[in-house]
Amino acid sequence: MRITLRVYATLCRYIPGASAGIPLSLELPYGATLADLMKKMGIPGEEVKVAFVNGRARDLNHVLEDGDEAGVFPPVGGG
Amino acid sequence: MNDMELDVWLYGDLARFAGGTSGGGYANLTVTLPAGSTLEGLLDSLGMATGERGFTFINGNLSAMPGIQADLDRELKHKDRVAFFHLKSMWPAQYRQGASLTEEIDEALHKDPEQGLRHSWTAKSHVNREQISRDEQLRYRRTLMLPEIGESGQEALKAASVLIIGAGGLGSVSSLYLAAAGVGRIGIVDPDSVELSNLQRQIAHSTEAIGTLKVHSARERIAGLNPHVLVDTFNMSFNPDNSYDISSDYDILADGTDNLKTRYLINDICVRAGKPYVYGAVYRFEGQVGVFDALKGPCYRCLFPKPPQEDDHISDMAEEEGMFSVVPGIIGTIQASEVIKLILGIGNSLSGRMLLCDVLGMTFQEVLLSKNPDCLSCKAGQ
Ligand SMILES: [Zn+2]
Repeated sequence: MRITLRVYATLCRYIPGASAGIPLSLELPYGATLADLMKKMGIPGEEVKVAFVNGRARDLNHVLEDGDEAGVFPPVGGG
Repeated sequence: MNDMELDVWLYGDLARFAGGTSGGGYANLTVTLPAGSTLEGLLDSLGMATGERGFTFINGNLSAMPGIQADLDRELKHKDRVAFFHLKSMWPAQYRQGASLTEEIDEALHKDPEQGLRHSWTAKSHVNREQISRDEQLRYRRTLMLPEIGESGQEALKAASVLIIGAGGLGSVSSLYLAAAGVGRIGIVDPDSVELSNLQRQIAHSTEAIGTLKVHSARERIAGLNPHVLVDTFNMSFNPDNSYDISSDYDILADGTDNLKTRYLINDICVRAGKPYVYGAVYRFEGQVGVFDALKGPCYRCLFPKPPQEDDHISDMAEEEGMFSVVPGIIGTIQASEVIKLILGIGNSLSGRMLLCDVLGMTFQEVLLSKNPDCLSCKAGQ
């Protein structure tokens, strides 16, 4: 199945060429979860982050569906 | 028996009692009732249960607040202006600072001072209400023309107090807009002095102010913008030892800090005190903005239960990686807007939502957030 992923702030450093807020298109096997997606993208489990699907925050066990728009953001520190 | 006309203002969600045509925000209507009708009679004619309303003002005098409806038997007079605010409206400072009260609520409060919304309640009667002066009438003319705000709203802004933690990029912008809008009292906390490298984004400070304290520089700028605003300055870092005392006398806390540790502290203080935390944070070309109000929705810790181990690393990185000048301006402006809406109880706040802003692609992503049942901060705050 095909999903898109938007990555934000410091998490962009794990994905070569990724730019904040710009969707990346990805192929994933049916039944894949947000955790599988993070793993595929090389975003370590210990990174503090919030993942969301179609505009709603979800935990990492959330099962993705074809066409989902996923995203992930970390806390940021600047002011 | 003659009829009398009442000038009735319904704010926020209460606008629905105006008869269904309003899309929220406010409603202003003239209600005709028999002379001698009471406030209860007015509520009946509107079809509004007394428990639906929060703060209520009769001709600018506080007559009711959540839990105290001392005004039900009050006889209304021809041309009285009655303003009903929704329960979610934030008015505490209005009476902490001594709003004038109707006799009925004054009496009710003296009978049972514990009924006050917060422990710091000090009812003072017969003091000048937060009236808008002639100069202010002109200054806020364009705001007063907005029926969603109007004179009652402007008085609410004048009576409100906001603590801004950090006078950097975010705090520069939120403090100036809140001052311009007429928020009556603004507290600013910052331990630093103005440096030349701050000025590409920290627009409350000027080149002449380099080397002076940021809190003083910001205060001068605010005084120049709006002399009606009281500014409290705290030249210190906001830390676990002083945060409770500093923040106790403010209604809303706004984030202008440059590190995660302080954000967790602001959050925990707000959860404990039941105050909204208007969150903002920036990184390079990106910003995040939201409202954490643990009474109604998630808090910051619901999202990020534990600070990242490399907290200092993330903060340092922000310094090293640079900052696009206008990002704190965009985020700080949205924060100011949320603060004003919370004070007035109008519109939809960002509580339960986070906006992720990416200025390079110029996208705004809205993320709906839920309360985390395991959140230690929310559990402790209950
Ligand atoms: Zn929480």
